Amino acid sequence: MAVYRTRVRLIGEIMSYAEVGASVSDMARRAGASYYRVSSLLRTLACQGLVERAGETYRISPRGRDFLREYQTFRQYSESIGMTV
Amino acid sequence: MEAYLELALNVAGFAVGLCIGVMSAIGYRNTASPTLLRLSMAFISISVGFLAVWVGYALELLPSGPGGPGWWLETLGVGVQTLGYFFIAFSHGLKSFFPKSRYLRGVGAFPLFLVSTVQLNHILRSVSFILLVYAAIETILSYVESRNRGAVSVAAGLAMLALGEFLGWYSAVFPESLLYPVSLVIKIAGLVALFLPVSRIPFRRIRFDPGPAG
Repeated sequence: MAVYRTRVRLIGEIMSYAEVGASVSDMARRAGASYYRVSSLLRTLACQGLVERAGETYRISPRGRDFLREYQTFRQYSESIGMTV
Repeated sequence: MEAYLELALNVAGFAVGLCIGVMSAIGYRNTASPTLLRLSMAFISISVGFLAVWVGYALELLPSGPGGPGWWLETLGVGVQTLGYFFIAFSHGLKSFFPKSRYLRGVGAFPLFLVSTVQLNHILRSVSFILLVYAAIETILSYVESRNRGAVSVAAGLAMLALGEFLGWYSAVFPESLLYPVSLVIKIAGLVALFLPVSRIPFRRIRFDPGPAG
């Protein structure tokens, strides 16, 4: 069954994959999202300084780690209220 | 003495609602999550509603009497609280139950023009009750799926808010009884139960701009 996933939630998933470094196609496959959508989000995240590109691999930046920590905290908070981020 | 108790409880409701609202707003600022935006709007509305009811009640103590600005401010406060409860229910997917056609929307709004202003307060309380019961049931269902303990506290909080609204509405039948202060105590207890999962959130500030792409 398809599960609706918000844009913020997909960003959180991509950021967690970028913790160890991954290519666009690898992230798209693991997230179950289209290559175009993941690529577009990664470009936005790179512009914001949340991920860094090294060749074909995207890796999380120090600022991105701060965001990911916040995302995980507020995701847990939202789930405790019975909602999704 | 009872009047002071009611004023104190409204102030407490204002403080708790504002605290949760601000925390959710910080969450929205840091993650750009629409859910957290709706939550912040919900709890800030509830907070402002409590404040308005408090000020309205204080004005009613003045010699102007019933039907004066204090009464209207109280009704406005209950209305703003209802708006806050709507945002909570909306976050649980209430929009899917909205009537689709314009005709049904018109019929749904029509009774508001038929009732007298005296009944408006009671209608708002009954709407709040329905929204809160819906949100409490949805939260319990989400607990069944996620087994997140915080959801139990939140569901209990929403249920207590619903009970408080019901007793607040029912107090019109017994105006001199303790039902209204009891309803306020139950509502504050509900807000505290809602506050428990929120109290674990650390404060931090990061700017995240989602950008145009996506």
